Amino acid sequence: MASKVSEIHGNARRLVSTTVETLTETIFPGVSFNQLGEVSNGNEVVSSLPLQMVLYFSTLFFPCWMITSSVMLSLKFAYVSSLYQWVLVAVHTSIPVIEVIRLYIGHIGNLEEKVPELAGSWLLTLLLQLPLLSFLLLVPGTQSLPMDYAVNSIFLVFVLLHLAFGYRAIKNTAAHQTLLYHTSLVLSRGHGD
Amino acid sequence: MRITGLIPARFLTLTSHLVLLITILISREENVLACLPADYTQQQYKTRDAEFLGGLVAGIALTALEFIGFLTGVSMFTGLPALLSLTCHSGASVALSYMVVDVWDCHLYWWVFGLASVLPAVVEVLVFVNVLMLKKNV
Repeated sequence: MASKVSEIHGNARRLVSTTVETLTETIFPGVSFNQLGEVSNGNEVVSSLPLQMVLYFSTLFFPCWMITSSVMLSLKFAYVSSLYQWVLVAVHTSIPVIEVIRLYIGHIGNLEEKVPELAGSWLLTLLLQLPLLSFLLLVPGTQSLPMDYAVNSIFLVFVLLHLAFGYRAIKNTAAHQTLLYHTSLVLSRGHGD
Repeated sequence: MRITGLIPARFLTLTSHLVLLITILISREENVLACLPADYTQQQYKTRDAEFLGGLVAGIALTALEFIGFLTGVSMFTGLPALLSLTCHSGASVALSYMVVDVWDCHLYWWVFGLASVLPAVVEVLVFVNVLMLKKNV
């Protein structure tokens, strides 16, 4: 009688765990243990080279963007409407602050393979830099000068490349870290027994 | 010889040349007017404008070619070609800035194009051939 109860318990637990695992795999693909080995072996560096190049060249390009944008803003400031004067000053103050934070934590996240920093930098890029730069390029009220168009377009290209390569880097790094975590659990349990 | 200092310099001069080409592309009207006689016809304006536009687009295409070669790593770590590209593109940046501010003739653009867009692009293609086909990596 007791063995039958424990058998039912075992079956129920297996059913629940397989259901949860199938659900998790459909909602969050790539998290289950047997899929993690596709990305890395657990003993290699998964910092993304394309992302590192994008961050490095973004860091080099940012002072040029800052100087060019400030000069263009000071030249056209008298000719934009008063609403856009406020808007342009706000945008040109917030973009450098966000940019410095985004590039710094992006560097830290990529070189030390930390997912929170990588994801934070990616979110800053997607939710803040992309709308702000698109606003500067597309809204006619900002009276964009030709040089404005040129430097903002190049900046936008860097932002889009960061979004593309950063997404892949986050997926790979997260899978790598999960694999390391699972492996460390197995090893510690083996030692504990 | 330490080469790694050339990479930021080359990237920045390439970018500045590209930025100036795009700027002139958008605001080329005054330069075209500068190379027409005082009593120009609309037809003359259109031909000169089309020539200038073609030259600018060709300059952008060659710069994009160099960018691709540089960013994919094929010519990122070469010594002499990088130095040549550096000098050509910085010279072009200065000349194109003068072209915008002093409203130069659109004829003078062809000198800038020949010396500072075609020359580095030819060297870049030679580096491509060296690295990709003759397998002479740096």
